[in-house]
Amino acid sequence: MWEPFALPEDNPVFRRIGPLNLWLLRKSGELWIMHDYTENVTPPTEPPSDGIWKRWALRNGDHSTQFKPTLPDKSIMVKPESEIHLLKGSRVRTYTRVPIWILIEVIGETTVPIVEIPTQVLSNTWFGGFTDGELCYWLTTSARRSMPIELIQPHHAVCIMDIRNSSDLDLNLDKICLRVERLSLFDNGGYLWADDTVITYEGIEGDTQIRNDGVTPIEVPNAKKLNEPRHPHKRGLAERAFFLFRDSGE
Amino acid sequence: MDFSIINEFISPDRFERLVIAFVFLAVALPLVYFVRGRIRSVVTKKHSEHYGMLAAKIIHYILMVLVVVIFLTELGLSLTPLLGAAGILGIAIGFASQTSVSNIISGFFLIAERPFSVGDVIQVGPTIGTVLSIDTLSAKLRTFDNRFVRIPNETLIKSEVITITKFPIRRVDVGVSVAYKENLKRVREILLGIAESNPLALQEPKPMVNFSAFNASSVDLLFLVWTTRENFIQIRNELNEAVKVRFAEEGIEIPFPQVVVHDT
Repeated sequence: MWEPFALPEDNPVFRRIGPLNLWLLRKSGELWIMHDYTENVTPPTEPPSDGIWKRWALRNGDHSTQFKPTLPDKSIMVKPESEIHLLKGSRVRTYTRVPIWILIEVIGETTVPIVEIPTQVLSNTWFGGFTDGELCYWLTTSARRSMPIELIQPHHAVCIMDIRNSSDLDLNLDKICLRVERLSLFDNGGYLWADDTVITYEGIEGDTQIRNDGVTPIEVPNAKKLNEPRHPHKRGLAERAFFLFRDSGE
Repeated sequence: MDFSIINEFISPDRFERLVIAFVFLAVALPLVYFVRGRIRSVVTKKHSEHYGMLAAKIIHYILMVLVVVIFLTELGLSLTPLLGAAGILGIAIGFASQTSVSNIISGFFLIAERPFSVGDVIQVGPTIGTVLSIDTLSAKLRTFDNRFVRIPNETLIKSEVITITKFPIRRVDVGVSVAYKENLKRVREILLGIAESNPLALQEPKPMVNFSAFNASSVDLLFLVWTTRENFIQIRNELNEAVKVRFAEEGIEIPFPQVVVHDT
């Protein structure tokens, strides 16, 4: 799916990645792209009549196109399957399926990124207080203690969180902010995996160590690196990974 | 033509100073505006537009005073009598312009307290608009129907000012009325479903449906959904439209007053 492919003139090419339907058309020196989302098992045969083509003028010598999987552009709020209590000194390893984005690139003398399209539209949520915080995506699928291979789909990347409670208090895991923009992507036989996020809770809210090493996860040691993180992590920063609203906002 | 009078008034030495002074002015003035622009752009990039404008103004006034002082010195004018005259003039102007002085001082308070910044949307009385600038005497707003409003700084200090864009998230309150016969639990589920399916609605803080009142012909509810400040208007429209459509699909009655006129 991630190999370059040539676009024939005036002949739309269709790709389906999860719920995302994508049409690409090369026409009069331009690249036309249209997309929509359907949950149907049978993919649509024609581009939707009410859809809107987006157009890019190509350079002389642009010969092919390539898809690159990337992780979403904002952090993701994840809920465990059920609330987990981490006793002091304990650790858990959780797995979350995150819908990827598709970066479309045009290849000529140089490779140029054209557009990024999410394979699934995610809702937004707020991580922080009423006066400050950050906008995140909201994931309806939960963080699991294991990830059976039959649950992974081609438009998912499996993100691993290794959560350690180094504090003197128990930690209730209700929601976790997964900073996907700092993760690298790996291909393991058509299944996408991200590197580990190691979260160490020190006991004080706002003082949590988050580490991403960018190395292949131990679950898929032979996976091949596909993509670097959007925003590499600055090491040693203490930050929030857990937050609960204490005010109802009424 | 007799140039002797001009020659007597403008000696070669004085002419030279005059030329130097005006050349200085011609070079200095564009330089002041250039420096002001650079300072504004650098500070805006590093901090915010508010501080960019403020820093540019301070630098502009300092440089302009310097340019005027150097220009007058080059012309050979002594500054001492001018400053004396300015002092007397200042007292006279001070008495005559108490409102302006009040506005200037209020402007300093606005800058120090920073209830809003350039680019914020504020409401002052019935006026809602985006702050274009906070100047010496007044703040300038652009309303959403593209009118220019000037509000004196003193008014801003004295009256209630709502900064609509101060915080990053806002709550959209949608008033919903349903008939007494409707199942409120079902209505609540439908409303929360509408919030869940709208990508602009934040899932945290959680959307809520609160009871509001038993009205004459309806049960009034308040549908509360959080969103980012940028999406406020769009989601308010979308939620109201979605409520109307979903209620029609689910057969939930939105009651409205009806008047029956009997022809006698």
